Amino acid sequence: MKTTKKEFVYLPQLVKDDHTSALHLLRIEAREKYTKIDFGYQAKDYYDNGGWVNIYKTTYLLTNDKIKLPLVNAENIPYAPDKHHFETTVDYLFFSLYFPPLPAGTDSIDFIESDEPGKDWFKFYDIDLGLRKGILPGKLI
Amino acid sequence: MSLNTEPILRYRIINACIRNKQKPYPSMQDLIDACNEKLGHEFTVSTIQKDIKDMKGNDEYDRLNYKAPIKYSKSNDGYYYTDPDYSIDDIPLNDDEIDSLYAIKDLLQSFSGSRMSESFNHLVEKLNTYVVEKYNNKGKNKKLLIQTENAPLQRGFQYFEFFLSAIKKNTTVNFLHYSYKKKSFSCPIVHPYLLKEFKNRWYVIGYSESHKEIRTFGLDRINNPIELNRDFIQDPNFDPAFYLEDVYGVYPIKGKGKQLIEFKVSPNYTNYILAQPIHKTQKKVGFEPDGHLIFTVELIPSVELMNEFFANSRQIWVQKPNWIKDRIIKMLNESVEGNENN
Repeated sequence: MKTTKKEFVYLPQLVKDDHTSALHLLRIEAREKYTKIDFGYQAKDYYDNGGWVNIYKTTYLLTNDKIKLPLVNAENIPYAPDKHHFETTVDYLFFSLYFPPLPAGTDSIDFIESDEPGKDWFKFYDIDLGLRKGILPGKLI
Repeated sequence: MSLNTEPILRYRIINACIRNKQKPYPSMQDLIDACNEKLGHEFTVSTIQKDIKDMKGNDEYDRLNYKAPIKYSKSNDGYYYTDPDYSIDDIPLNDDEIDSLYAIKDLLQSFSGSRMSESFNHLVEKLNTYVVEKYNNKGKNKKLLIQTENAPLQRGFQYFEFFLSAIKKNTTVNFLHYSYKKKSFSCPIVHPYLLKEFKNRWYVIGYSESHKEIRTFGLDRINNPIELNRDFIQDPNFDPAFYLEDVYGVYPIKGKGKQLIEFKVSPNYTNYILAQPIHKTQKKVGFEPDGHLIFTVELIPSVELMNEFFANSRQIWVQKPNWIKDRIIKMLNESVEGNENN
Protein backbone atom coordinates (compact mmCIF):
# COMPACT_ATOMS: atom_id res chain seq x y z
CA MET A 1 0.00 0.00 0.00
CA LYS A 2 1.40 3.34 -1.01
CA THR A 3 1.07 5.81 1.87
CA THR A 4 0.84 9.57 1.66
CA LYS A 5 4.15 11.40 1.28
CA LYS A 6 2.76 14.84 1.93
CA GLU A 7 1.78 15.69 5.47
CA PHE A 8 -1.43 17.57 6.19
CA VAL A 9 -3.37 18.84 9.16
CA TYR A 10 -7.17 18.88 9.00
CA LEU A 11 -9.44 20.73 11.39
CA PRO A 12 -12.88 19.22 10.77
CA GLN A 13 -14.28 20.07 14.23
CA LEU A 14 -17.04 17.46 14.21
CA VAL A 15 -19.29 16.83 17.20
CA LYS A 16 -21.12 13.75 18.38
CA ASP A 17 -23.50 15.29 20.85
CA ASP A 18 -25.96 13.30 22.92
CA HIS A 19 -27.63 13.65 26.30
CA THR A 20 -24.72 12.10 28.23
CA SER A 21 -21.70 13.69 26.61
CA ALA A 22 -20.23 15.53 23.68
CA LEU A 23 -17.33 14.06 21.72
CA HIS A 24 -15.50 16.57 19.53
CA LEU A 25 -13.23 15.37 16.75
CA LEU A 26 -10.95 18.39 16.60
CA ARG A 27 -7.91 17.67 14.47
CA ILE A 28 -6.42 15.06 12.16
CA GLU A 29 -2.69 15.00 11.56
CA ALA A 30 -1.92 12.97 8.45
CA ARG A 31 1.80 12.34 8.93
CA GLU A 32 4.18 10.26 6.88
CA LYS A 33 4.53 7.68 9.67
CA TYR A 34 1.16 7.81 11.39
CA THR A 35 -2.27 9.36 11.51
CA LYS A 36 -3.18 11.12 14.74
CA ILE A 37 -6.69 12.23 15.68
CA ASP A 38 -7.23 14.64 18.57
CA PHE A 39 -10.47 14.67 20.49
CA GLY A 40 -12.11 16.69 23.22
CA TYR A 41 -14.70 15.04 25.45
CA GLN A 42 -17.17 17.08 27.51
CA ALA A 43 -19.00 15.41 30.39
CA LYS A 44 -22.63 16.44 30.79
CA ASP A 45 -25.05 16.52 33.69
CA TYR A 46 -26.83 13.28 32.73
CA TYR A 47 -24.70 11.57 35.38
CA ASP A 48 -24.24 13.29 38.75
CA ASN A 49 -20.47 13.06 38.56
CA GLY A 50 -20.12 13.42 34.78
CA GLY A 51 -19.92 9.70 34.06
CA TRP A 52 -16.90 8.08 32.43
CA VAL A 53 -15.21 7.53 29.08
CA ASN A 54 -12.95 4.93 27.47
CA ILE A 55 -12.05 3.66 23.99
CA TYR A 56 -12.30 0.18 22.54
CA LYS A 57 -9.30 -1.39 20.86
CA THR A 58 -11.62 -2.33 17.99
CA THR A 59 -11.53 1.29 16.83
CA TYR A 60 -10.46 1.79 13.21
CA LEU A 61 -10.45 4.21 10.30
CA LEU A 62 -12.02 3.22 7.01
CA THR A 63 -10.83 5.07 3.93
CA ASN A 64 -12.97 5.88 0.89
CA ASP A 65 -11.13 2.99 -0.83
CA LYS A 66 -12.38 0.68 1.96
CA ILE A 67 -8.94 0.24 3.49
CA LYS A 68 -9.13 -0.44 7.22
CA LEU A 69 -6.55 1.22 9.49
CA PRO A 70 -6.66 -0.24 13.01
CA LEU A 71 -6.05 1.76 16.20
CA VAL A 72 -2.37 1.61 17.14
CA ASN A 73 -2.15 3.71 20.30
CA ALA A 74 -4.33 5.77 22.62
CA GLU A 75 -3.05 8.75 24.57
CA ASN A 76 -4.77 10.11 27.70
CA ILE A 77 -7.73 7.72 27.51
CA PRO A 78 -7.90 4.13 28.84
CA TYR A 79 -8.79 1.13 26.73
CA ALA A 80 -12.06 -0.59 27.62
CA PRO A 81 -12.90 -2.15 30.00
CA ASP A 82 -10.86 0.39 32.02
CA LYS A 83 -12.56 3.74 32.42
CA HIS A 84 -11.65 7.37 32.95
CA HIS A 85 -14.11 8.51 35.60
CA PHE A 86 -15.06 12.16 35.78
CA GLU A 87 -15.74 13.83 39.10
CA THR A 88 -18.13 16.57 38.03
CA THR A 89 -20.38 17.46 35.14
CA VAL A 90 -18.05 20.29 34.06
CA ASP A 91 -15.03 17.99 33.61
CA TYR A 92 -13.49 17.56 30.20
CA LEU A 93 -10.76 15.48 28.62
CA PHE A 94 -8.42 15.84 25.66
CA PHE A 95 -7.23 12.57 24.17
CA SER A 96 -5.48 11.38 21.00
CA LEU A 97 -5.69 8.19 18.95
CA TYR A 98 -3.00 6.94 16.59
CA PHE A 99 -3.49 4.94 13.39
CA PRO A 100 -1.21 3.89 10.51
CA PRO A 101 -0.46 6.51 7.84
CA LEU A 102 -3.22 7.23 5.35
CA PRO A 103 -2.87 5.59 1.94
CA ALA A 104 -1.99 8.00 -0.85
CA GLY A 105 -5.06 9.48 -2.50
CA THR A 106 -7.37 9.17 0.53
CA ASP A 107 -10.19 11.67 0.12
CA SER A 108 -12.30 10.81 3.13
CA ILE A 109 -12.39 8.50 6.14
CA ASP A 110 -14.88 7.02 8.55
CA PHE A 111 -13.99 6.81 12.23
CA ILE A 112 -15.60 3.76 13.84
CA GLU A 113 -15.13 2.54 17.40
CA SER A 114 -16.82 -0.80 16.75
CA ASP A 115 -19.34 -2.50 14.48
CA GLU A 116 -20.83 -4.63 17.26
CA PRO A 117 -24.56 -4.04 17.50
CA GLY A 118 -26.31 -2.86 20.63
CA LYS A 119 -24.06 -0.06 21.85
CA ASP A 120 -23.77 3.63 21.17
CA TRP A 121 -20.26 3.63 19.71
CA PHE A 122 -18.23 6.66 18.76
CA LYS A 123 -18.60 7.06 15.01
CA PHE A 124 -17.94 9.79 12.48
CA TYR A 125 -18.67 9.14 8.82
CA ASP A 126 -17.29 10.61 5.62
CA ILE A 127 -14.75 13.00 7.13
CA ASP A 128 -13.60 15.10 4.18
CA LEU A 129 -9.83 15.08 3.72
CA GLY A 130 -9.80 16.91 0.41
CA LEU A 131 -6.42 18.50 -0.23
CA ARG A 132 -7.97 21.95 -0.26
CA LYS A 133 -9.08 21.39 3.33
CA GLY A 134 -5.62 20.39 4.47
CA ILE A 135 -3.08 22.70 6.03
CA LEU A 136 0.65 22.08 5.75
CA PRO A 137 2.12 21.35 9.16
CA GLY A 138 5.43 22.69 10.41
CA LYS A 139 8.12 20.57 11.96
CA LEU A 140 7.13 18.11 14.66
CA ILE A 141 7.89 19.18 18.23
CA MET B 1 26.59 55.13 44.07
CA SER B 2 26.01 52.75 41.24
CA LEU B 3 28.59 52.02 38.59
CA ASN B 4 27.69 52.87 35.03
CA THR B 5 28.02 50.11 32.47
CA GLU B 6 30.12 51.96 29.91
CA PRO B 7 33.11 52.77 32.14
CA ILE B 8 33.14 49.12 33.23
CA LEU B 9 33.21 48.07 29.60
CA ARG B 10 36.14 50.47 29.02
CA TYR B 11 38.01 49.03 32.02
CA ARG B 12 37.60 45.57 30.53
CA ILE B 13 38.85 46.75 27.12
CA ILE B 14 41.89 48.47 28.68
CA ASN B 15 42.57 45.34 30.77
CA ALA B 16 42.37 43.14 27.65
CA CYS B 17 44.76 45.46 25.75
CA ILE B 18 47.33 45.51 28.53
CA ARG B 19 47.14 41.72 28.90
CA ASN B 20 47.39 41.11 25.16
CA LYS B 21 50.62 39.15 24.76
CA GLN B 22 50.52 39.57 20.97
CA LYS B 23 50.82 43.31 21.33
CA PRO B 24 52.30 44.24 24.70
CA TYR B 25 52.74 47.79 25.99
CA PRO B 26 49.71 49.43 24.33
CA SER B 27 50.06 53.17 23.93
CA MET B 28 47.44 55.71 24.96
CA GLN B 29 46.37 55.90 21.31
CA ASP B 30 46.06 52.09 21.17
CA LEU B 31 43.74 52.15 24.19
CA ILE B 32 41.64 54.97 22.73
CA ASP B 33 41.39 53.18 19.37
CA ALA B 34 40.34 49.91 21.05
CA CYS B 35 37.60 51.65 23.07
CA ASN B 36 36.42 53.61 20.02
CA GLU B 37 36.22 50.46 17.94
CA LYS B 38 34.50 48.25 20.53
CA LEU B 39 32.04 50.81 21.88
CA GLY B 40 31.30 52.62 18.65
CA HIS B 41 32.10 56.21 19.59
CA GLU B 42 35.03 58.50 20.27
CA PHE B 43 36.81 58.76 23.60
CA THR B 44 39.30 61.43 24.64
CA VAL B 45 42.73 61.07 26.22
CA SER B 46 41.43 62.48 29.49
CA THR B 47 38.65 59.85 29.67
CA ILE B 48 41.10 56.97 29.25
CA GLN B 49 43.57 58.62 31.66
CA LYS B 50 40.78 58.84 34.24
CA ASP B 51 39.87 55.21 33.59
CA ILE B 52 43.46 54.15 34.27
CA LYS B 53 43.46 56.22 37.45
CA ASP B 54 40.16 54.60 38.54
CA MET B 55 41.54 51.14 37.83
CA LYS B 56 44.61 51.92 39.94
CA GLY B 57 42.23 53.15 42.61
CA ASN B 58 44.66 54.77 44.95
CA ASP B 59 42.38 57.47 46.29
CA GLU B 60 39.84 57.32 49.13
CA TYR B 61 36.87 57.14 46.73
CA ASP B 62 37.98 53.85 45.19
CA ARG B 63 34.68 52.12 44.40
CA LEU B 64 36.13 49.55 42.05
CA ASN B 65 38.66 47.93 44.32
CA TYR B 66 40.66 46.83 41.26
CA LYS B 67 44.01 48.02 42.63
CA ALA B 68 45.36 47.51 39.11
CA PRO B 69 49.23 47.66 39.07
CA ILE B 70 49.37 49.74 35.88
CA LYS B 71 52.62 51.48 35.02
CA TYR B 72 53.79 53.40 32.00
CA SER B 73 56.99 52.21 30.34
CA LYS B 74 58.90 55.07 28.73
CA SER B 75 61.22 52.73 26.87
CA ASN B 76 58.30 50.80 25.32
CA ASP B 77 56.00 53.83 25.09
CA GLY B 78 53.09 51.91 26.55
CA TYR B 79 51.25 50.58 29.59
CA TYR B 80 51.84 47.30 31.43
CA TYR B 81 50.96 45.48 34.64
CA THR B 82 53.85 45.17 37.09
CA ASP B 83 52.26 41.85 38.11
CA PRO B 84 52.09 39.96 34.78
CA ASP B 85 49.37 37.61 36.15
CA TYR B 86 47.06 40.46 37.14
CA SER B 87 43.64 40.81 35.51
CA ILE B 88 40.53 42.71 36.57
CA ASP B 89 38.58 39.52 35.76
CA ASP B 90 40.07 38.01 38.91
CA ILE B 91 39.14 40.83 41.26
CA PRO B 92 37.72 39.47 44.49
CA LEU B 93 34.42 40.98 45.59
CA ASN B 94 34.17 42.69 48.94
CA ASP B 95 31.63 41.55 51.55
CA ASP B 96 28.99 44.09 50.51
CA GLU B 97 29.30 43.05 46.88
CA ILE B 98 29.03 39.36 47.77
CA ASP B 99 25.89 40.16 49.80
CA SER B 100 24.48 41.98 46.76
CA LEU B 101 25.38 39.07 44.51
CA TYR B 102 23.56 36.66 46.82
CA ALA B 103 20.54 38.97 46.90
CA ILE B 104 20.46 39.09 43.09
CA LYS B 105 20.85 35.32 42.94
CA ASP B 106 17.93 34.85 45.37
CA LEU B 107 15.80 37.32 43.44
CA LEU B 108 16.46 35.59 40.13
CA GLN B 109 15.81 32.22 41.71
CA SER B 110 12.46 33.39 42.99
CA PHE B 111 11.51 34.29 39.42
CA SER B 112 12.54 30.92 38.10
CA GLY B 113 10.75 27.60 38.48
CA SER B 114 7.23 27.57 37.18
CA ARG B 115 7.23 31.20 36.16
CA MET B 116 9.93 31.29 33.55
CA SER B 117 11.26 29.40 30.59
CA GLU B 118 13.60 26.43 30.74
CA SER B 119 16.53 28.42 29.34
CA PHE B 120 16.06 31.11 32.00
CA ASN B 121 15.95 28.46 34.72
CA HIS B 122 19.11 26.90 33.32
CA LEU B 123 20.89 30.25 33.46
CA VAL B 124 19.76 30.88 37.04
CA GLU B 125 20.92 27.40 38.04
CA LYS B 126 24.34 28.09 36.52
CA LEU B 127 24.57 31.42 38.32
CA ASN B 128 23.50 29.77 41.56
CA THR B 129 26.17 27.07 41.23
CA TYR B 130 28.82 29.65 40.35
CA VAL B 131 28.00 31.97 43.24
CA VAL B 132 27.81 29.17 45.80
CA GLU B 133 31.04 27.57 44.58
CA LYS B 134 32.98 30.79 44.23
CA TYR B 135 31.88 32.44 47.45
CA ASN B 136 31.06 29.38 49.48
CA ASN B 137 32.75 30.49 52.69
CA LYS B 138 31.28 33.96 52.58
CA GLY B 139 27.90 32.59 51.68
CA LYS B 140 27.58 30.14 54.54
CA ASN B 141 24.64 30.69 56.86
CA LYS B 142 23.10 33.19 54.50
CA LYS B 143 19.48 33.87 55.34
CA LEU B 144 16.84 34.02 52.65
CA LEU B 145 16.37 37.75 52.16
CA ILE B 146 13.97 37.97 49.23
CA GLN B 147 10.94 35.87 48.51
CA THR B 148 8.54 36.66 45.71
CA GLU B 149 5.23 34.99 45.02
CA ASN B 150 5.80 31.48 43.74
CA ALA B 151 2.53 29.98 42.58
CA PRO B 152 2.07 26.26 41.92
CA LEU B 153 2.80 25.12 38.38
CA GLN B 154 0.11 26.31 35.98
CA ARG B 155 -1.48 23.70 33.74
CA GLY B 156 -0.26 24.23 30.17
CA PHE B 157 2.94 25.93 31.28
CA GLN B 158 4.89 23.17 29.54
CA TYR B 159 3.99 24.96 26.28
CA PHE B 160 5.69 28.22 27.33
CA GLU B 161 8.89 27.38 25.40
CA PHE B 162 6.89 26.29 22.35
CA PHE B 163 5.05 29.63 22.15
CA LEU B 164 8.16 31.65 22.97
CA SER B 165 9.94 29.97 20.08
CA ALA B 166 6.95 30.44 17.73
CA ILE B 167 6.78 34.16 18.60
CA LYS B 168 10.52 34.60 18.01
CA LYS B 169 10.38 32.79 14.66
CA ASN B 170 7.02 34.28 13.51
CA THR B 171 5.55 30.79 13.18
CA THR B 172 1.84 30.13 12.79
CA VAL B 173 0.49 27.60 15.28
CA ASN B 174 -2.56 25.49 15.88
CA PHE B 175 -3.74 24.03 19.19
CA LEU B 176 -6.66 22.40 20.91
CA HIS B 177 -8.49 24.80 23.21
CA TYR B 178 -11.14 24.45 25.88
CA SER B 179 -13.23 27.41 26.99
CA TYR B 180 -14.08 27.16 30.71
CA LYS B 181 -16.88 29.67 30.32
CA LYS B 182 -18.55 28.27 27.20
CA LYS B 183 -17.66 24.66 28.07
CA SER B 184 -16.67 24.14 24.45
CA PHE B 185 -13.71 22.97 22.40
CA SER B 186 -12.04 24.68 19.48
CA CYS B 187 -8.92 24.27 17.39
CA PRO B 188 -7.86 27.75 16.30
CA ILE B 189 -5.08 28.75 13.91
CA VAL B 190 -3.16 31.49 15.67
CA HIS B 191 -0.32 33.84 14.73
CA PRO B 192 1.23 34.41 18.17
CA TYR B 193 2.66 37.83 19.11
CA LEU B 194 3.13 37.96 22.85
CA LEU B 195 3.32 35.90 26.05
CA LYS B 196 1.78 37.83 28.91
CA GLU B 197 1.69 37.09 32.63
CA PHE B 198 -1.12 38.34 34.84
CA LYS B 199 -1.47 37.26 38.45
CA ASN B 200 0.79 34.23 38.00
CA ARG B 201 -1.04 32.95 34.94
CA TRP B 202 0.43 32.98 31.46
CA TYR B 203 -1.46 33.87 28.30
CA VAL B 204 -0.57 33.85 24.63
CA ILE B 205 -1.88 36.76 22.59
CA GLY B 206 -2.06 36.66 18.82
CA TYR B 207 -4.13 37.00 15.70
CA SER B 208 -6.62 34.15 15.52
CA GLU B 209 -7.55 33.24 11.95
CA SER B 210 -10.53 31.38 13.30
CA HIS B 211 -11.87 34.44 15.13
CA LYS B 212 -10.48 36.99 12.64
CA GLU B 213 -9.21 39.19 15.45
CA ILE B 214 -6.52 39.41 18.11
CA ARG B 215 -7.38 37.04 20.93
CA THR B 216 -5.97 36.01 24.29
CA PHE B 217 -5.64 32.32 25.20
CA GLY B 218 -4.74 31.08 28.69
CA LEU B 219 -1.99 28.47 28.51
CA ASP B 220 -3.97 26.40 31.02
CA ARG B 221 -6.72 25.91 28.41
CA ILE B 222 -4.38 24.88 25.61
CA ASN B 223 -3.45 21.34 24.61
CA ASN B 224 -1.19 19.81 21.99
CA PRO B 225 0.06 22.89 20.08
CA ILE B 226 1.71 22.26 16.71
CA GLU B 227 3.52 24.46 14.24
CA LEU B 228 1.96 25.08 10.83
CA ASN B 229 3.73 25.76 7.57
CA ARG B 230 1.59 28.77 6.78
CA ASP B 231 2.30 32.43 6.07
CA PHE B 232 2.55 34.41 9.30
CA ILE B 233 0.09 37.29 9.63
CA GLN B 234 1.52 40.26 11.49
CA ASP B 235 -1.16 42.76 12.47
CA PRO B 236 0.48 46.13 11.72
CA ASN B 237 -1.55 47.77 14.47
CA PHE B 238 -0.41 45.39 17.18
CA ASP B 239 2.28 46.85 19.42
CA PRO B 240 3.16 44.54 22.31
CA ALA B 241 4.29 47.51 24.38
CA PHE B 242 0.89 49.19 24.18
CA TYR B 243 -1.59 46.35 23.72
CA LEU B 244 -3.45 45.94 27.02
CA GLU B 245 -1.91 49.18 28.27
CA ASP B 246 -5.43 50.46 28.96
CA VAL B 247 -6.67 47.17 30.35
CA TYR B 248 -6.50 45.75 33.86
CA GLY B 249 -5.90 42.07 33.12
CA VAL B 250 -5.96 40.26 29.79
CA TYR B 251 -9.59 39.84 28.75
CA PRO B 252 -11.15 43.17 27.71
CA ILE B 253 -14.95 43.07 27.62
CA LYS B 254 -16.16 42.98 24.03
CA GLY B 255 -17.69 46.15 22.66
CA LYS B 256 -16.57 48.31 25.57
CA GLY B 257 -14.17 51.15 24.82
CA LYS B 258 -11.89 53.05 27.12
CA GLN B 259 -13.96 54.87 29.72
CA LEU B 260 -13.83 56.71 33.00
CA ILE B 261 -14.73 54.49 35.93
CA GLU B 262 -15.44 56.10 39.28
CA PHE B 263 -15.40 54.19 42.55
CA LYS B 264 -15.66 54.96 46.25
CA VAL B 265 -13.38 53.29 48.77
CA SER B 266 -14.10 52.66 52.45
CA PRO B 267 -11.90 54.45 55.00
CA ASN B 268 -10.20 51.23 56.14
CA TYR B 269 -9.19 50.35 52.56
CA THR B 270 -8.13 53.70 51.12
CA ASN B 271 -4.50 53.33 52.13
CA TYR B 272 -4.25 50.05 50.25
CA ILE B 273 -5.62 51.65 47.08
CA LEU B 274 -3.38 54.68 47.48
CA ALA B 275 -0.33 52.48 48.09
CA GLN B 276 -1.09 50.07 45.24
CA PRO B 277 -3.15 51.81 42.54
CA ILE B 278 -5.38 49.63 40.38
CA HIS B 279 -3.93 51.24 37.26
CA LYS B 280 -1.52 54.03 36.37
CA THR B 281 -4.49 56.24 35.37
CA GLN B 282 -5.89 56.10 38.91
CA LYS B 283 -6.69 59.53 40.33
CA LYS B 284 -8.14 60.62 43.65
CA VAL B 285 -11.02 62.93 42.72
CA GLY B 286 -12.88 63.44 45.99
CA PHE B 287 -13.26 62.62 49.64
CA GLU B 288 -15.83 62.52 52.39
CA PRO B 289 -15.18 63.78 55.92
CA ASP B 290 -15.52 60.28 57.39
CA GLY B 291 -12.53 59.07 55.31
CA HIS B 292 -14.18 57.64 52.21
CA LEU B 293 -12.19 58.51 49.10
CA ILE B 294 -13.41 58.72 45.51
CA PHE B 295 -11.11 57.55 42.72
CA THR B 296 -11.28 57.29 38.95
CA VAL B 297 -9.45 55.07 36.50
CA GLU B 298 -9.59 55.42 32.73
CA LEU B 299 -9.65 51.93 31.30
CA ILE B 300 -11.16 49.49 28.87
CA PRO B 301 -13.29 47.39 31.24
CA SER B 302 -12.11 43.80 31.56
CA VAL B 303 -13.25 40.56 33.09
CA GLU B 304 -10.45 40.85 35.65
CA LEU B 305 -11.48 44.39 36.64
CA MET B 306 -15.03 43.19 37.29
CA ASN B 307 -13.65 40.35 39.39
CA GLU B 308 -11.45 42.78 41.33
CA PHE B 309 -14.42 45.02 42.14
CA PHE B 310 -16.51 41.99 43.03
CA ALA B 311 -13.82 40.46 45.27
CA ASN B 312 -13.44 43.76 47.15
CA SER B 313 -17.11 44.68 47.15
CA ARG B 314 -17.13 45.29 50.90
CA GLN B 315 -14.58 48.08 50.48
CA ILE B 316 -14.98 49.34 46.92
CA TRP B 317 -18.24 50.62 45.42
CA VAL B 318 -18.43 51.47 41.74
CA GLN B 319 -20.25 54.77 41.19
CA LYS B 320 -20.01 55.18 37.43
CA PRO B 321 -20.77 53.99 34.84
CA ASN B 322 -24.08 52.42 35.75
CA TRP B 323 -23.58 49.30 33.66
CA ILE B 324 -20.53 48.28 35.71
CA LYS B 325 -22.38 49.05 38.92
CA ASP B 326 -25.28 46.85 37.72
CA ARG B 327 -22.92 44.06 36.70
CA ILE B 328 -21.29 43.97 40.15
CA ILE B 329 -24.72 43.93 41.82
CA LYS B 330 -25.68 41.03 39.53
CA MET B 331 -22.50 39.17 40.47
CA LEU B 332 -23.22 39.74 44.17
CA ASN B 333 -26.80 38.49 43.78
CA GLU B 334 -25.59 35.42 41.93
CA SER B 335 -23.10 34.78 44.70
CA VAL B 336 -25.86 34.93 47.35
CA GLU B 337 -28.21 32.78 45.26
CA GLY B 338 -25.37 30.31 44.64
CA ASN B 339 -24.76 30.03 48.36
CA GLU B 340 -28.47 29.59 49.06
CA ASN B 341 -28.79 26.91 46.38
CA ASN B 342 -25.92 24.94 47.81
